[in-house]
Amino acid sequence: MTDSAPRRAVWIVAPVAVVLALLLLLFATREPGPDRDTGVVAAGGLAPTIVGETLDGDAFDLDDQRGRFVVVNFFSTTCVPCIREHPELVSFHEAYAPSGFAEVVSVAFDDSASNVAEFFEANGGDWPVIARDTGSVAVAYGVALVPESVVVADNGEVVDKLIGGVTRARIENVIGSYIGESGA
Amino acid sequence: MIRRAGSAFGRGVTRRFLAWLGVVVVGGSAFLFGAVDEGPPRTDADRVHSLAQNFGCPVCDGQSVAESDAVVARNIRQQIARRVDEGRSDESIIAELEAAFPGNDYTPAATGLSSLVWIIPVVAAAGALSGLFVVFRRWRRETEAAATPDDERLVSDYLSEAGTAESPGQTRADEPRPLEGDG
Repeated sequence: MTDSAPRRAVWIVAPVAVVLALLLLLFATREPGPDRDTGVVAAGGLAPTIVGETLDGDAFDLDDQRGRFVVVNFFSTTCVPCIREHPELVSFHEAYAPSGFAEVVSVAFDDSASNVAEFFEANGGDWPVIARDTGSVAVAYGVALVPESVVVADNGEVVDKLIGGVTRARIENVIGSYIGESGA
Repeated sequence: MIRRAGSAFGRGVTRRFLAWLGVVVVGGSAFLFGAVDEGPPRTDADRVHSLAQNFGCPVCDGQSVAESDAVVARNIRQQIARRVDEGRSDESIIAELEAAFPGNDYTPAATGLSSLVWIIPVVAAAGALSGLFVVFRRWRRETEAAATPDDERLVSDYLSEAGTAESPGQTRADEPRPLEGDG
């Protein structure tokens, strides 16, 4: 009994030690996961469909915007960074929408249509706003938090996904880089 | 004492073997049934809940979409319900969500290191069964210890002495009786 006890202990401890060592090796060599991945819309593929009714009651289809750049802005009226970025979007829209070079479309994220209407009335912005049944669009674009904006090229391809508040200069840089790279 | 089964089962077949065989047959059948049988058909609500449980909330710590009340979790739950209504398969629904929110699929992959999640329980179960087998076998050896000729002589001497001390024909109730038919 006294002779076999240490041998038995070795048989118990050795496998546990091996498993722990393997786990340590596994955790030490694995890459840490990303904090937030931009998902499928950052891959340069076609932008997911956006079809809905705007606050004005008009039908909106993202495909109808081909031929111009589109900034798809996910926002909420209760989100401070969204409120802060709004003047930048207004500025961008006033600069590029009249010529037909670019358009902005806002998609409300967990907000009521009446709140959104009041927000635009108070803060300006004359572009299509979709405020009802937007959950599916948010999932398709992989939107987990707002504000997030997706810049869509004139050919319907996703240019970039911008997490957090945007500025006019940032959007211009993204579009400028895309045009420079693609030679458009 | 080893009891032999009846001759209909053959002389080498012990009752203990039959008992183990029964355990293996019943256990194996239950395992097979559990692995193969899919149970009653799941409702759409069951599918939605199951899928939501297996997909992590992208903005929560350790919560699934089924558990979280975050806006994105609610949106994903509604999307799952829509896809189930459309008749999409579980795999395609999870693939779509994983494409939009990478790294949130809780279902472990069956390849690479993730396959350890499936393999380790099987290996552990096999090890536990092997351990039980070894322990039971040791117990059986201990209970089957046969009496040596010395042991038998000691018992015989004791019984002889006890027989002379008592009146002939009298035996105490707690006294061991002589073994019958044992050589």
